[in-house]
Amino acid sequence: MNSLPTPSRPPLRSVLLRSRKHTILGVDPQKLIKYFFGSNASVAIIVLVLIMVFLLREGIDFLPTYQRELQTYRRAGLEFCDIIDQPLQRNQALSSSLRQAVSASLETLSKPARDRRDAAFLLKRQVEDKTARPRESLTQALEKTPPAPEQIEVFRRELAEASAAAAKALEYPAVFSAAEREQLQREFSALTPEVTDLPPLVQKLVADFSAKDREARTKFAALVTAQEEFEEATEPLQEVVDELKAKALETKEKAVEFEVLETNRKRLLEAAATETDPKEKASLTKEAEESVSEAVDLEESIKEITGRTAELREQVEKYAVVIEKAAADLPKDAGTGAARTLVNDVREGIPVHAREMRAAAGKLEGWRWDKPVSIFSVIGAFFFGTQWITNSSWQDFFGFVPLLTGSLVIAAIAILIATPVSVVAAIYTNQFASEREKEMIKPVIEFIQAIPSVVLGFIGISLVGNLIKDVSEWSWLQWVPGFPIQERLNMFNAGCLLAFMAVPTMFSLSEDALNNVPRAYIDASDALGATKLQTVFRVIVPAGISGILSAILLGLGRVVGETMVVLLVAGNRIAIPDFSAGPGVIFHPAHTLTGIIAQELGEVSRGSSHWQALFMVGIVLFAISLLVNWCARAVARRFEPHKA
Amino acid sequence: MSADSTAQSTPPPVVQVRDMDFSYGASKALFDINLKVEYHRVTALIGPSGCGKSTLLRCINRMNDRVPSARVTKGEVLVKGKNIHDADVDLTQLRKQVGMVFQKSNPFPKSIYENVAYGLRIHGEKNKSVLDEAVERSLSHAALWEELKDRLHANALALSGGQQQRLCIARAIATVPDVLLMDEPCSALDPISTLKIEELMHQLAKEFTVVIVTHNMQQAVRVSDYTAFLHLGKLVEFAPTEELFTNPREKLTESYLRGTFS
Amino acid sequence: MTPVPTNDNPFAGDNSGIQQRETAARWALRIGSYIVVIITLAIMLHIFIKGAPVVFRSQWPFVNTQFLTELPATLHVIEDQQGNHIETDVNGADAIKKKLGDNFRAEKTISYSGGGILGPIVGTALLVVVSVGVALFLGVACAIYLSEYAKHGKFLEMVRLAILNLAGVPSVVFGLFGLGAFVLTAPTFVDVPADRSVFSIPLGFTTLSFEGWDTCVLSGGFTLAFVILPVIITASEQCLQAVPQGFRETSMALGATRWQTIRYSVLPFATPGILTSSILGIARAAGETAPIMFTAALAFKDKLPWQKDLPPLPADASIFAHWEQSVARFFGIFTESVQALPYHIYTLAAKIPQNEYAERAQYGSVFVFLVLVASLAASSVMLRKRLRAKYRW
Repeated sequence: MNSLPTPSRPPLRSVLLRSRKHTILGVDPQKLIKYFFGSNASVAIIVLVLIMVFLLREGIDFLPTYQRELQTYRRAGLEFCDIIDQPLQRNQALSSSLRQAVSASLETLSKPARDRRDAAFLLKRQVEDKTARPRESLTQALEKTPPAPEQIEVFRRELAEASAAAAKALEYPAVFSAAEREQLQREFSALTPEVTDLPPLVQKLVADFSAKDREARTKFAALVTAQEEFEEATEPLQEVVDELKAKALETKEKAVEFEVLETNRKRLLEAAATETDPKEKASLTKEAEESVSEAVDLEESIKEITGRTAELREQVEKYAVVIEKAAADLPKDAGTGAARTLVNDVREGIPVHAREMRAAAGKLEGWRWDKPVSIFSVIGAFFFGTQWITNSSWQDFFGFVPLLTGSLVIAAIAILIATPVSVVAAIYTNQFASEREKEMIKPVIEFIQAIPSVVLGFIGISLVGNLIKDVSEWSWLQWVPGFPIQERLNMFNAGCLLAFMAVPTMFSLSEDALNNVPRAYIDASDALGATKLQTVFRVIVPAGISGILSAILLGLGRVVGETMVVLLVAGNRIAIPDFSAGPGVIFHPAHTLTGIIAQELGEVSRGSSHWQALFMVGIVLFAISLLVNWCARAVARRFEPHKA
Repeated sequence: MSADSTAQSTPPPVVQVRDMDFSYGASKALFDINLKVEYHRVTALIGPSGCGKSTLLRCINRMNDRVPSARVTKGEVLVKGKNIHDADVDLTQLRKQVGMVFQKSNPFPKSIYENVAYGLRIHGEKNKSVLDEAVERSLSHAALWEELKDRLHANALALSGGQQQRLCIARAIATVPDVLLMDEPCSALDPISTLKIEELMHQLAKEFTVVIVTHNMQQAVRVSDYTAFLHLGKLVEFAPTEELFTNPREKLTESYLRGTFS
Repeated sequence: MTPVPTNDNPFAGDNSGIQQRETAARWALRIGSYIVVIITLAIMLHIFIKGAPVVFRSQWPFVNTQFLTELPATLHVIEDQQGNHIETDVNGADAIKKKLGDNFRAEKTISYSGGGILGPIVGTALLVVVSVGVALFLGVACAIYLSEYAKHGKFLEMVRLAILNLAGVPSVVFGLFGLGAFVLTAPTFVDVPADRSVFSIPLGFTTLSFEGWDTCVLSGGFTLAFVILPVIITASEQCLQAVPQGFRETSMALGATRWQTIRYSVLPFATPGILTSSILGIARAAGETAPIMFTAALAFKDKLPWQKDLPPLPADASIFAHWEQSVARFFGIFTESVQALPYHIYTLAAKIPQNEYAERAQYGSVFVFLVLVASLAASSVMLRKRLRAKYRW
């Protein structure tokens, strides 16, 4: 009773009991606060939708734009020319093989002489490089008017000393005899800027080589002739094609110009329609009327091109006959085994090529300039197009395949490297490592996540590229396909760095997955007398496999979406990697979906087909990332027995 | 079973704990335990929670080894006459011969067949017919064969709780251990499943020696031949079950059994 | 019938080599994990060895102040007739050439490699400030909803799915989004709308035109904000979840409203955690290159963002005019495009040939950048550990 509030304290009580239901515009403020946070929560959804909206807004016009461009490509006759021109490219590959075969054959005779000549040239250049400074001084002094004989003399002596020192310091290769070395050293010591003739011994070496080369050419005359024949065979055909191409290009340019003017005129008319001021309206209309240009008579010019179909076919036939003859003339034997293989390849390649050319010529008749380009064929041209050619004077192509292949090959390399490493590291850290090891390994691997990708890209250029190249030149590693590598920046290099980037994601998620394996499984296995290793590989890893798989998928998502590393390191060659090189293909450069956007978007104007194509690539990337995420979730759910 | 018959039987105990102290780091968990487990008998360990009965059970197959700093500080544990802490004892061999069933059923997320075959596989058995035969035998022992023979390759996690626990028993006996340790195997099961497992226990005792931890005194009465009562880490009383429940020697046991325990 | 134990060891290990296999496998796993550690340390060491000499000096003040306080410039390397190389900037080059006279032999210029990296550092700092500001506001509000208000349902599931997916969107796609949304479309106040404006709303004294902000700090900052948003949301939600449920129940039991509960019983305990985790967001934002490529970054700029040419004020200008100009100058900072460290490194790595003179700027920038980002990440991890030890509920 005593503890009841005394009547002297009602204010506090009434304050506490007073209803606090204020409203703002008739809404409970608590609700408002909730809606505020709720709307912020939807920001993630909104951003996703906005990303989609803006990508589509900039990119979706690509299809009609590209359709128009391809239409022009057809109507102006460019496509017609490409029917012949595209397969004709094969000629170059064949003749380069032949050239290689020829030079390999010639070398069997002339190589020692050539080596001696080249070695002498190299030595001479080394001396010249080392004495560049005094030589320049002397040259300047000589050119000076009036000449200063004393100065010239000083410089001359300086040069002579420098040359003598340089000539002495040279390392003479074993191809020269002792006497020759002495003579070379003497001759190099006496090099002066006035004398432009080669020193006598070097001259002799050059002459020796020429003689040997002539001798070789007679010996392999059949091969040499066949090669020349083959190379010349393309000329008349190429001439016709080039003529037609020039004509087509001219038509195309006119058509494009007309289109631009027409668009402009339409815009003026539109503006005139909405303009209220009658004076302005009149002037706009007038301007529009004045800008009417003469439409290009596409039909007329296309007739000029298609009119020569017969001639073209004839030339193709001639060409095919000539090269087939060249193929028949190719001698059975060549200087070396490698050359023989090359020659054989060419001998088999030529008939195929000739067949292709004849087939192409056959297509000429059926080609129609006014056949409309359907939207499906445009979609096909984008998603299955094998060429990504931009800023071309001939025709831009936006084919998606080279970029996709590059991205996929690099991602595959990265995942193949990163998966074992990160899963092994996760298993070790989670199951075997002592506490101290854990405290060392985990922060280091998690630290990788903090390394910005551009830094890794730089490391790829400055460190890893050279490392791979050096390693690829070790003689005992030559059995590795693709070794020695040509390019420092290649798919393998990028794949290694991306693997490194993916490790922390895959490691952490895999480790989580292993951690989530119920303790009871381990108890059961232990109680049955399993060793640690048996428990890990027969119980823990299988139980955590869903988490590990989903970790790999998320790692894949990261790898495909990575930009800076591939932009800097992948080598940026826009072509489908040459898979005929076997596994060695991974040492070729390539371009990627992400890299192409980063590289080219800064240099194109808004609204052009190129701009839109890049946004299309962005749309595809976005779709891929959503798909990978979805798969990762599906996998995680699919094999989640212990949570069921 | 009466106390006399045990005293007369000659064979030495399969498990013998002698003057054993056990501690987790600084805190002592078991004091001066002496216990003998006879062949083909069911021995129950009872006592209030935290009394150390599970710890004692886990000493027998050295499952406590995995807890860092946990160790036997005094005395010894003999299984089949061998001190299991001797240096030449191979842990995997020990556990192969001393099987264990846990409180909560823990089948692997594999098929029923693979669960039962697991123990044999890790001990190097690859012969398919041997495995098949062992799986059938073990499942029959665990009274599961009839229920499951048509779906041996279904996921074990799809079984009911009682079936899962019996599967775990089948898995434990597949390697034909001498001793089967059971750590409150029925505590997570419904009465019907419990009944099935209790029935099973009598069958099992024909071939194996069973040591069971239980907090359920009725269960101890129903299934065991001998009962040990532990309290605060000490073995208060160890006697044939009938004797212990009808005529406990110790005051502490009596009050525990009567439920007037503070 | 009962087996009689003999003196033999019934638990003898078989000698089938299981033990050796165990050890071998353990070592294989150990080596596998150590490879990653060693590679990481090797890369760090490489950058340290090559980069530290650029930034540190053996003499007082031990730091290469020039490298940290100057703007990037073109490096001029002048060779004299004796074969000496002198590195200098464009003004120095003229002076030295004059001084050398006839002794001058050749001059090489290497873009971006001279001077220091103040511009990129400042630009990155501005971008980080904007992005973290925006992301914290949106992210914490989202986290509060998820942790305090949301009930299980379709909406919550969609939000969670969206956050997951947002985290997986490639950074270059964010760049495209930023370009389309902020650079080309975002609303701004202008006097006369540009042609590209999507639509404009006349407001009398000015016009709200959806014509974008152009490439500038604001565009880049907002773009980066959405890149780090998932990180911030997830981290903040974890911190909010870590506040014991009892705090909320006690507060509610005293009759507090939901918001009062959040305001007084949840947020104060979650804030330190949220802030530390957001440092991780800073590190991420500072490290991203692709999102700012088209939205904010420039390869080269010879002015700091606040060194903008504004019309000089007349001598008798009022205080108000001065004030107005300072305000314009301040806001001008955010509407300028800037250099940024990651983009600077990209430029140095991709746009100039590799040679000994470029290395100084390359490794110096990489070193500074890595130290900045790594120390941010490390401090976040460390602070979080300490907080966890402090608030153990």
